[in-house]
Amino acid sequence: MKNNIDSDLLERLNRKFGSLYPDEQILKEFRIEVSINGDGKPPSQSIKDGGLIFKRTFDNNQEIILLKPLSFTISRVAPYTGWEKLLTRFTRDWGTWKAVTGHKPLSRVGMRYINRIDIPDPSSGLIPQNDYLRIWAQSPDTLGPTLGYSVQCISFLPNISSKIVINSATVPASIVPGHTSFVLDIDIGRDFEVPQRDDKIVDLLSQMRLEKNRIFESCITDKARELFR
Amino acid sequence: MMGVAVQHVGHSSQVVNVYQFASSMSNALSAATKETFRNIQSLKGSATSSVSNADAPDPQKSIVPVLNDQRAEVYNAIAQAKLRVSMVAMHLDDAWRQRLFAQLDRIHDIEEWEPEDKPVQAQSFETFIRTMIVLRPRKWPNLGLSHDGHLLAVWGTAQDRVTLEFLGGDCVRWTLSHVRPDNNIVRNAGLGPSLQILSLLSPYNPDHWFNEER
Repeated sequence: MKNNIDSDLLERLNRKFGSLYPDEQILKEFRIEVSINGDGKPPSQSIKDGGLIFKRTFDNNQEIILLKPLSFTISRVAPYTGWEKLLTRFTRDWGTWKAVTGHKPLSRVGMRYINRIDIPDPSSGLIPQNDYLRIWAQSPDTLGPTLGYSVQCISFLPNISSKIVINSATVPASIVPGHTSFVLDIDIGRDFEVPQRDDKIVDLLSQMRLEKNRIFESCITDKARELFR
Repeated sequence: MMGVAVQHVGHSSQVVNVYQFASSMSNALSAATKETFRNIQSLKGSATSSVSNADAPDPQKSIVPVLNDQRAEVYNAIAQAKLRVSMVAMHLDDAWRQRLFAQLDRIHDIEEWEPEDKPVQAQSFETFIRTMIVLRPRKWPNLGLSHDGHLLAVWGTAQDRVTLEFLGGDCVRWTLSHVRPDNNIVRNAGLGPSLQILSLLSPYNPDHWFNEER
């Protein structure tokens, strides 16, 4: 949103979503800044209260809605139920949001898909990242095997006037035994000439999803695809 | 000596990233700086809360309210456990997952909760998940909770059974009572890594607990 939603309105929203997302967590956002100067002066600190955040969940914490003063987010954790169900849910919840808040100018519309790719550990103990991913950290052979990496690529998608941020990284300790895991995190967002009408917002999200699919496929190899079958 | 940065990660959880500085720096820092870090450290433990509407904190009274509500603790533990299940959903059968969720809710029945009980500990649950991915049992265990929040899984009958207690750090404690083909009963106990649990139990034909239909 361009403007904050005040705390009273946010709490009304929280109550309104109670029937759809019965489980509630109230979080607190704060920003801490510590400045340490090299000139011997004492460090300065500031703690800024970002206000309350309401996190509500449904279906064994698999469907989530996050209500913040400046944003509205819905998400789903694995296993995924498909785009159509997610879009239906978004349309319903966005309608609920607007019924309470009225029209609020949007400053950004976006979506984010965080994927984890689990690769069985080979007998050699070494996994060539580029066997599975097309975004990875390349280093000279003289350094030896890479024990971990984290890279970020930022680009622009002119056909939907949106920025894309791709994060690729190793997972320090895979939760899946006998596997090494990589994260492929794709975030697409538009903060320029953001659509304000519901039908245009849905159109944009649908186009973003198609772009996300295209980009995801281009970021993985056939060897990675075999893991998903 | 600790430094703290706060960021909003992903779609849900509030995360406090803690960076650890060498303790040798302590002597190089002034009292004011140390006080700053102590203030930050005191905020770290209270960043996340879980309350009912009736107990919603008044943001005017404190920056980060501290809550000791047992109901909130249980809720948080179950929520974290279910989130961990979602992280490996692609490796789990759907019916298995739903059954696990139902059992987690059942063993955390707040109406029967004792004040000294602990909900499932995150590290224990992670060991449980990893062990189940290794075992991939066809038969579902009975789940329970130890007094200190370790998840327990039991397969078998009263006389012929294995109990696994999932500790942190990928460590599994097992106790068993096994009826041999000659009808003698063998009892044993041990401790080992989750990845090796099948080989540790191999002398006792673990397949008859985990997979075979009776």
